[in-house]
Amino acid sequence: MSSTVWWEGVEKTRVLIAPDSGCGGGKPGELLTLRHPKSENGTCYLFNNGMLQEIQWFKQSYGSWFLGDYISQDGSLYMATPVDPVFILLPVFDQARMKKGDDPGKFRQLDEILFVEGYPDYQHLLSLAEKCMEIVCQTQEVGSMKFYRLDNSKVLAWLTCKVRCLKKTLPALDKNYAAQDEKQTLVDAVSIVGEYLKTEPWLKLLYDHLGLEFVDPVTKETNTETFPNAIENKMDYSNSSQEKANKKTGKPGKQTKQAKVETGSKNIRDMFSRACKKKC
Amino acid sequence: MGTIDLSAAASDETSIADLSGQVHQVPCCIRFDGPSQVSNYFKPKSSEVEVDGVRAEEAHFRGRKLQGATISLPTGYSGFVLGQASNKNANGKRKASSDTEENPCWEAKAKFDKVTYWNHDSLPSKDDTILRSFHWFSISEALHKPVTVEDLVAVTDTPSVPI
Repeated sequence: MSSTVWWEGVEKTRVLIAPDSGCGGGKPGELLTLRHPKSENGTCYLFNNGMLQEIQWFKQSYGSWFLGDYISQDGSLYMATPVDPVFILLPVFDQARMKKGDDPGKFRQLDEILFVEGYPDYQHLLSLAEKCMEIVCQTQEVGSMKFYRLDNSKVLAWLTCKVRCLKKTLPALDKNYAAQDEKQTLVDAVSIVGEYLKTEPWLKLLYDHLGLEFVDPVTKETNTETFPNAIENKMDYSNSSQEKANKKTGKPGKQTKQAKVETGSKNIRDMFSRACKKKC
Repeated sequence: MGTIDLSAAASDETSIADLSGQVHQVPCCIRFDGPSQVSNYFKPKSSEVEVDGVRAEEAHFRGRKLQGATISLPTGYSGFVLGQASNKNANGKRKASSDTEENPCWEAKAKFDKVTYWNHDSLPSKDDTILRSFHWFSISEALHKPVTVEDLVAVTDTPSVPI
């Protein structure tokens, strides 16, 4: 053992996998509280070296870490991965344009848009918003001032890019995904994107745009329960493979699949907890 | 506001401990936090068994056989052991706890480039949850890579091309 040990003065430890680029920048990454784009709950994001990251939390029912000659009781694994700021800012820009019916709404300046009551941390994202939001907005310049208004057709095209990209990636993950037909892969891709979107209006618009039938998770649950007992075993089988498909994303309990997961192997589902971003 | 400071792990810094090869996730809860002579007692060996391209390793913990596998972290990522300084002051009394609870300051104390996870009853395989959780890195790359104007034009110009 070397004379100085890494755990000197440390009371608590956590294990994190994060982009290398987070080591640069010369100042600590900040934990910002922003509203989750789907649930609207205050959620912790990591803003490090100009990059916005989300934190996923992976924990098995039982586990601890050996970290060299040190034991850490908390066996969970945190993963920080870059998040496209457009997802996070979408609801904020949507609200700021004050769209009513067919009226496309108002053009506004960034500092106004990013003023979200109760969430001052959005102010940190000013230069990021300037760089990334033009792709989904119409802009107008008056003198040195720039005004932004979210544009639905641009948002839909942007979402379509996301779906295309995911759909290409999924079959490469493993053989279960590779064996899946194209339509199912598309549905999976949309439901993963849907983890970041409010059902109204975006997710419904996206389903519509792609010619998919929107399935309300609540209705689906009812349907599942009305299946007669005779085919229950068969159902269970498909549930567990569905469960696997869910797990592959590292994000269990996707809304559209929740109903099936409920009836299936519950114990496996408990091993994963949904991204608990408050923990850090 | 809390912070996570990884700067001690920057590549030009050599001060930080490298725990690569010594990061093990064991399949039981050990009710202890702190230093322990792990390397004296926990001695993993590689085995000949390979399932699905996953090479199994073997070790024993408290008389039980564990079977595990080592996962390399994806390119562009590193593992960090974060430490939170003790919130006791020089007299050993706890400082007002609200400050560290509301504004936790985590600092990279050690780094690593691979993780070994251990199963108790089963050989490691591609179906293990922790291996599958690593799919998240590929998925999030596809999902969060910025969309360029050219991508957008391609989608808008060819709406009839199947997605």
